[in-house]
Amino acid sequence: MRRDVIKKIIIKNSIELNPDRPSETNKTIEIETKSWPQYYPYLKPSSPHARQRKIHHEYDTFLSIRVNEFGKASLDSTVWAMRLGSQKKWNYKPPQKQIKQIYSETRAKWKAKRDRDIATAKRTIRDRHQRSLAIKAAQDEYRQMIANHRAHAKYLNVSDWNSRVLGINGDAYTKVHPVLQRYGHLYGRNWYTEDVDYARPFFPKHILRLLDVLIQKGILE
Amino acid sequence: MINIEYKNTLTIYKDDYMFEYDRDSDFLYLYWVDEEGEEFSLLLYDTEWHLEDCPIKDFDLLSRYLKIFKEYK
Repeated sequence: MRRDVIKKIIIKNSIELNPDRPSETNKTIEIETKSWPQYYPYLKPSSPHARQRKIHHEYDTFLSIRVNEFGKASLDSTVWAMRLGSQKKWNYKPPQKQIKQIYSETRAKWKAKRDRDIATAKRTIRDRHQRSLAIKAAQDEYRQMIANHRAHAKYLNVSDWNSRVLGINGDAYTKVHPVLQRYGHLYGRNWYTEDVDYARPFFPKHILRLLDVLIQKGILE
Repeated sequence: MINIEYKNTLTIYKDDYMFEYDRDSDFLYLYWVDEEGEEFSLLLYDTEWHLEDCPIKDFDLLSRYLKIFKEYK
């Protein structure tokens, strides 16, 4: 069983035309596919909370290679471009309602409400038993707010939201695309401008799987 | 089982737009990416350009590119 799943590959034998000089053409093979990780049996959830491993994160993969004089796409080709995931910009702050991860400011707001309720109870309720019940109710309400939020939010955290809503692969976005861009091999946009270790480029498993399939099928030599 | 689908296309890049002519289906597509990285595609018909949806309003340019695609041998 493979580490990554690919079901369909679209291969475009593409000829790029120059509108002013239609005889000057570049021939490329463009490969488009979607892939998602095959978790089991490679990764078994370590705990019932390890939920992300059960979720399909599906990414578009794009590879464009200029064909050689024999009309074939070769691993030796120096004219190629690649991308994993969409071209969208990473959203560092998805809507709180949609993600189970609780932002610190949201938590602070809920805590402040709890503390206000407790302070009010301490200030206004004389009866000791009633006061302790009111304090416990405020604490329970705070815990219930967290539980309700986690039960209703659809996505796990910021990364999960960006992956499933925007189709961005976080690894590729932060580590692969900046390197590909620097060496002129990125298809589309790079949004990531933080420091990147250019000496350590790597290909995520989705890209390796695609290359593996293309070599096996004789599409890439 | 991996399903492989082949297409024969002609492309022209113009500014931030990509025109793609599918030689098998005879369809012309326009692709572009907006400032937030959202990817768009539009199927263009020579009989009805759908210019209200098309970011390129130059009818003559669209016609010229379609002519180049159709005449390419």
